[in-house]
Amino acid sequence: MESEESLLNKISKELKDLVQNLRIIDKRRIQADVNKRDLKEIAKILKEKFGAHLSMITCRDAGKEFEVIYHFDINGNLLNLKALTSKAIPKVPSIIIIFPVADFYEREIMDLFGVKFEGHPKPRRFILPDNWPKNVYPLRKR
Amino acid sequence: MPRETIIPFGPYHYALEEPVMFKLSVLGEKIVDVDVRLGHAHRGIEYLMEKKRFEDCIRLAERVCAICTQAHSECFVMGIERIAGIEPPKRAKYIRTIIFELNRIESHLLILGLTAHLMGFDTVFMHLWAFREEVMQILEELTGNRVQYAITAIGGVRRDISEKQVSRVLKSLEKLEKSISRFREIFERDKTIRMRAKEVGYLSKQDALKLNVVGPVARASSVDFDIRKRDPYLAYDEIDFDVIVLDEGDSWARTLVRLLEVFESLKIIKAALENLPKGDIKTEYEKIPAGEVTSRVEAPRGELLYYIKTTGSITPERVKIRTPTIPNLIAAKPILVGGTIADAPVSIGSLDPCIACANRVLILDLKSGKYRLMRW
Repeated sequence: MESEESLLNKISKELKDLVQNLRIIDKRRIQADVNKRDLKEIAKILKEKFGAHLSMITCRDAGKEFEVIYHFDINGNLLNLKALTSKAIPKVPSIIIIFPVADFYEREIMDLFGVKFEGHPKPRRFILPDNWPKNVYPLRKR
Repeated sequence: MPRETIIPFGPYHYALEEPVMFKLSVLGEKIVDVDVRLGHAHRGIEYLMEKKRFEDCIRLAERVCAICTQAHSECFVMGIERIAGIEPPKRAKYIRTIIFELNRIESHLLILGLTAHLMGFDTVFMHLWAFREEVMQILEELTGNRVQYAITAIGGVRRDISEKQVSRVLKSLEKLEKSISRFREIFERDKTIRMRAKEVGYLSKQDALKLNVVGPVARASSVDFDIRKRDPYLAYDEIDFDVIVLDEGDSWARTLVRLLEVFESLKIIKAALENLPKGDIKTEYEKIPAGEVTSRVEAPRGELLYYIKTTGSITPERVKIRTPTIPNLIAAKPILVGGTIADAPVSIGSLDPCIACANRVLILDLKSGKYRLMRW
């Protein structure tokens, strides 16, 4: 286990201005905002320099935008990175090349929210049935 | 050139207790590729939670999965407590730890029995399930329920444990430990089990780290990943226990990790019962404020996460559940590829997949392209 403060310092040193608003929000929880364009680069640094474990990807309908949250475990601390994407053309780069486990998480979000993950090699249906109508996304709020 | 044949393994198969589809591409007997497809058991729990009061959400969370039920309610309640800044009394934390670990024993004995059954060793299966019944009875005595325990409440627990119950449970646990120790030798030495599971379904440490697998699957491939130690909750930082890590990485190691964890859980329960603090069992609260939280626990199958966002109203705005089976199913490919079809049931069984968990997201009704959300 590593303390939140020392991890926070390391992250701000390695990621510099790739993250904004980096802060400790709770015991062993660190949060930051990121630009979706930098996601791949950030994931690469987290994997190579921190040995991060991708725990989950959450998507949330935030009204005008979708909030995609990446939850990384680093030495017992949970780092939540928030990226926003517009609702009109919801697109986020896929990080499957760096974290293979993202495959299932990304496909689940594709099914339920209709957020496209650019660069996903096989963006097939995962959760919804094959005869599900196109452009209908059950967890979107209307 | 021989051609690949695709063999459907599931959605309904004798090796699977729940529906999931594995498409196995085979060359002769040998598996060369695997494709997983979920979605046969959708119930729309994430959506339903957005429509329910927090207190009802706990009961719904317990129903995500009947086997790791305590992990789900615990993870949800811990998240809500973090948002509202509620600190449950120490006695409640200990009681919740006890139920959590009893739940882990129950779940591990279930899959150990099933693994033996898949290997064709039904005697072990019958005996282990008989001992599992004793655990269920302890749980019933402490909580009043056999499966969904309904003991967790926001700010504490709903039932206290009496002195009499403590001594009775301690006695049954001692008996249970003796009965289960016999199986340690069977799982370690028995020829049938070794032949069916040793060096079958190998997952290397590199692959385990690369694929971010969790729980006993990771710990059998020498990855020391246990949320109880990494991100301690409840009373785990006050109770001494070991994390079982093996380095074989095969189906046998995954089975043995679970068996050895049963003994660690027994150790935790005993320590918690003997040092049960005195005092209240519940902290009162008024309102759940707006906020967001990521809460996680070590469920019997591995790291379980809940992301909860509240707005200050009586229902959560968004609840996202990530169950341990989802990352572990990713490992189905490296585990199965290179093996034979005959080994597939045991290898898949050793992952301990809980499909109801992985399939919880949504159920919808559709007719002629129109859709209707189910509400109740």
